[in-house]
Amino acid sequence: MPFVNLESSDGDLVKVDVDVIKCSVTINALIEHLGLEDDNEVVPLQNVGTETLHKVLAWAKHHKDDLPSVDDDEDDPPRERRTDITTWDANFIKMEQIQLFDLILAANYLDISGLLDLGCKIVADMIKGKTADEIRTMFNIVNDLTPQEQEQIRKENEWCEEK
Amino acid sequence: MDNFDGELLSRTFRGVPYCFCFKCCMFAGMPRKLPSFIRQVGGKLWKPFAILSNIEGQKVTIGETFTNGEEQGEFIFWKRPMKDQLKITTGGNLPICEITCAENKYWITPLLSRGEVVAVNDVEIQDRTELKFGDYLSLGVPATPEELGKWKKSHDNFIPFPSTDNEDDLPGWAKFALDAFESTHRLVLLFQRREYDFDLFWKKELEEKRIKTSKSEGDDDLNLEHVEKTEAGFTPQLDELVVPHILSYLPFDDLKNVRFVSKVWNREALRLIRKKSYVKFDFLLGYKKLDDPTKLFRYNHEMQDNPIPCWQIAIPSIGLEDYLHEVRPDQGEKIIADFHWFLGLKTHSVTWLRLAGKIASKFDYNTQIKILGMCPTQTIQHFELNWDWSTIKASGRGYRFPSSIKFTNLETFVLSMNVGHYDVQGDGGPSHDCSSLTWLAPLISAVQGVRVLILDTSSPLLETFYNQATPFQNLDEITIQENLTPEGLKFLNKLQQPLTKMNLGRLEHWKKPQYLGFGRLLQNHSQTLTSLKITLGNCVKSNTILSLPIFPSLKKLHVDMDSMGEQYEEEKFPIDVSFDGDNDISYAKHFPSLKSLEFGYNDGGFLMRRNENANDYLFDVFLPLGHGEDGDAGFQVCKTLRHLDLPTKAISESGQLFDRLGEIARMFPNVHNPWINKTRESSENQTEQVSSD
Repeated sequence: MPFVNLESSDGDLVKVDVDVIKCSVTINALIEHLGLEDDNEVVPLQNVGTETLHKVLAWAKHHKDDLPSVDDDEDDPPRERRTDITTWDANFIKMEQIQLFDLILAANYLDISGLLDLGCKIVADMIKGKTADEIRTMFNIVNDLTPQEQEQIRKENEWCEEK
Repeated sequence: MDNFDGELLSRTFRGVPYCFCFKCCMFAGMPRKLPSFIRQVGGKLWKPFAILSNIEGQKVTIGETFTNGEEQGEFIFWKRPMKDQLKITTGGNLPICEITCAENKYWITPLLSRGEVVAVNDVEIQDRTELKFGDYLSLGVPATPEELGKWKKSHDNFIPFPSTDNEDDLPGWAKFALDAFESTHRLVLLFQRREYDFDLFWKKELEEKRIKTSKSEGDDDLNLEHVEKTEAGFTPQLDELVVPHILSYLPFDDLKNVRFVSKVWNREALRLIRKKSYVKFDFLLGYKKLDDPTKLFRYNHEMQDNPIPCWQIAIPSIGLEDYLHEVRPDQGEKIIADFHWFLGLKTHSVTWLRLAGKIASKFDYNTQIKILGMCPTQTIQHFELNWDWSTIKASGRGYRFPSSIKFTNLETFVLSMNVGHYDVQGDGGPSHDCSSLTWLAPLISAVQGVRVLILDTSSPLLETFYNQATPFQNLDEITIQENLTPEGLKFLNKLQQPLTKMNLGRLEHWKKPQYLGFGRLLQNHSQTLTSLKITLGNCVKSNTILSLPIFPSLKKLHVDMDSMGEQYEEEKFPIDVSFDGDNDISYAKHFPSLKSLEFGYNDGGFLMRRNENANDYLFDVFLPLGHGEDGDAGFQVCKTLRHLDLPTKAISESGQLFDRLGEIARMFPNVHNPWINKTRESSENQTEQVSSD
């Protein structure tokens, strides 16, 4: 069974079964591009720390037999965009917020759509039913909207009805 | 005033259905939950009457008759009380006041004082006076106690006026009458800083959610609110990269809310909102938060930077007959003039248009067509005709659909019209003949290039449509929402282009030849169909076999059982289904690409009485699980399926599928949803229990 060595941004090497990490479009492309044939060759991942990489691999190992994800369209209504999360995933994603964000960034960089979806669904769940103030506090976001811009948003929101 | 808009509120009462329609008020029942747009000020209830935009130099006139925008500025209608007793000489239609915006302040000027009073905070005004937020404005004639008594007496013949001083104890019709200032002869308005409905709605939603959450705290089985909240911070990188992805999972109201988070979130949320929303230019009577005649003017002002490309234009029936027409000609004139002004301003970028309203005369039809002709039909990709057609009053004969209206980029056409009664029994009972609608053929011709056709109307109009339809050469997807008649089947069988989506309603008045024809239709499109919805079963009892072919590309299948009418409760499944000649379904063979499967119809139990056992036939045919003591006879595994929707009742503890959920979970191993996950968990627990034993 072929293996590949992934080097985290912390400089740690993690040996992983290619079959496990095939969910990553980025790594697949790198393997193909670099023409890795030797098990000792290293794929550098400059944007993924060791701790996050281990989490990514844990997720990838559990999901290695999954079918390719169904292409959901962001335009679909939420009830159509599948928000169901398995129990395993729900337990997996129990982590600190900073780890969650790192995981989302890693999933985005490695182009692992299933993991990115999972992370984004969790963050969306955290946002639902909160005020803008609460969301800003939760994510340390600075309100850079002027009072005039906020008033304009209020006006625009009045016009928009859901299709 | 810091450039804030103002709004005028009028009095309302608990129990009034917040609608200007007298009929609704007659049936207004008990006091109910207040909608979020009802304001409580000074211990009284108020509803929005008009919004006054803070635009320097803008004038708004309040009166009975709109003449023209140049003279009157924007115009707000009111009904003048005691008109016959007022000595108004100029046609009886003079406006009562005008409100102007100057130097960032609002000013009111009375225009008529002959017996009428314009008062601010109960002080009659003679000249231009500043109107401040919090001021009360009253217009009209003060009523004497005698007049009030006379008014009550006049209603005795109809329904005795209740002898109560408590407003909340009054029946709906009386509240409505009070609301319409009949008793006071004055219209009392409260002027305040504009409040936004979404703010009030969202506040209420969050309060309700918090109450619900605090009640349900503790019963947390798969609670996802468990992420540790630390000082992580949304880095700019995360903002740019994944905010759009995160927001795509939010419900619509949350999307509106997150616009207030930051500039980036506003930009990304707005991008999604523009795709998912539409603007209602709705001037019909009915349940609305605001019957503001200044809509088009305000839209043009407020949405200049971020116009919404999807519109619903709803034009009321205009005329003098109260029970037939929705607005009087003078009001109608303002609506028409507004549309002409607004559509003539510039070429609006519109991609989605629903044209709605009631047609009760040739005038109504011509009004609608003229407005449609002014719409940017070259950019419209989705066009929906949503008229409520009164065939008795508007024959349609000789009505023209101009050839100048061309839809050059149309992708989807939706015919969604109400044309009267529906012949449910198939016995030629009440139904309206639509063959006189002579405008239909040229309309069909104008939209015949579409890729998607959705017919959501009843049989009489559909029959006319089928008769007049010319071939839809580019058609790729078709939906016939309500009923598929033999004529409809003929229409479908004439389609030459291979379809990818077919969404069909109940099969109506079908006999064996139609089922055979339907089998052929499915066979003809079997290679290309990716989405199919069919409703099986009908009134005709026969032993017909419906032959379904192999669908190599089908990704989405929705099968429903027709169970309309209680006379069919005991009816057995009237047709058998075969799968490419096989008696039993094999998902791997017959549906090798299937990803989504849905059975039945979750109607919430309130739309119509349905035969709950009807779905048994579906489950027997499409979920061939082992029923006998030997267990797994017919068991198969469909790995491609990702989404499975079954009727909620069927999977509930008392439902017919409850005992088979374990088998269903094994049959579709890649389906994940709350009930199937729970089923798998409990199966695993049982297995672990057995092994540990």
